Amino acid sequence: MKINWFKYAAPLNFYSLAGKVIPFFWVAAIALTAFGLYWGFFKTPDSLENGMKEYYRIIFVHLGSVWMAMWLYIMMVFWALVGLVFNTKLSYMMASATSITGALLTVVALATGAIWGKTSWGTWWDWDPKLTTFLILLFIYIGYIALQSAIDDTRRSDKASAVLALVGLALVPVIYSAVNCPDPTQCSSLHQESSMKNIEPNIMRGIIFTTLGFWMYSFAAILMRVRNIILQRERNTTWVSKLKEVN
Amino acid sequence: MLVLSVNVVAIVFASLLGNYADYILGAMFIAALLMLFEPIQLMLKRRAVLHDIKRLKRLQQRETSERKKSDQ
Repeated sequence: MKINWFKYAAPLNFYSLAGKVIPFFWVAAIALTAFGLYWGFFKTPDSLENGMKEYYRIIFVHLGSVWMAMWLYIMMVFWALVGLVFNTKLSYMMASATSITGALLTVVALATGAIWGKTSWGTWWDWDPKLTTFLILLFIYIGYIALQSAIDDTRRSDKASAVLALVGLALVPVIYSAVNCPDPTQCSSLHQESSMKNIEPNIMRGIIFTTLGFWMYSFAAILMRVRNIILQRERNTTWVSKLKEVN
Repeated sequence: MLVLSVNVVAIVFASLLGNYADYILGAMFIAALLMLFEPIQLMLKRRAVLHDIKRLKRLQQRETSERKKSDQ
């Protein structure tokens, strides 16, 4: 069966498609997160070999939100770039919808990271490269959202914020290399190095499931928001006035 | 409601732990609160947008009928 993907670039077609798939993403998000948390709390050891006690379980919400915050930024830039190149309305709408969920997950990552810091390092915050770059990521998300709402003309605001998103993309490899520092003596800080290679298999399983749950959550929330944006921007069109929910 | 129930389950899991339960509980609670806030806000926003469109549509229909009357 041949699928015409360009068909879904039209807001009308995408609106109905998104409405159909949102419930599946919610079910997947809840099931995966619940399973990941169950595994993380009941099938993992109480303490780790490196001396970490049961507070390490914060990792099951912290790591998923960190990865998704960075991934959503890349997705936001992708949609902004597609919008700039092909001048498609829906791409800008997707970028706009992704930014708020990305900012929210960045806040979750920073808040859970601060609690982790208090238990393991004795402080809520440390101005080290890893934490600081992540805080800058939050500021870029906020800057993108603020720029979008500051300009009334949606075409101009979409283009201006897309350029801002592209500039901010330079930060993502910086965050990645700050956590996976090739030379630890060059970037010593309280935040531990990435230990994904020698992680206990059960802990890894819990992390993977909660991260997948967060991913599905992001899909569901972004699609819900993009439907709202479509309705707002296309409210004067005939297809919106003919919608079942409007009549 | 489903998201809420999953997060409540997560919080119950966390409270079952002995030491550091308050920290794990705190982390779970913040994540749950923020991730609950988003879908609720989206649902309220959708209601507001639909209400706005319906109002606009009624206004347009009234204008059209008034114009027809004045033309007659």
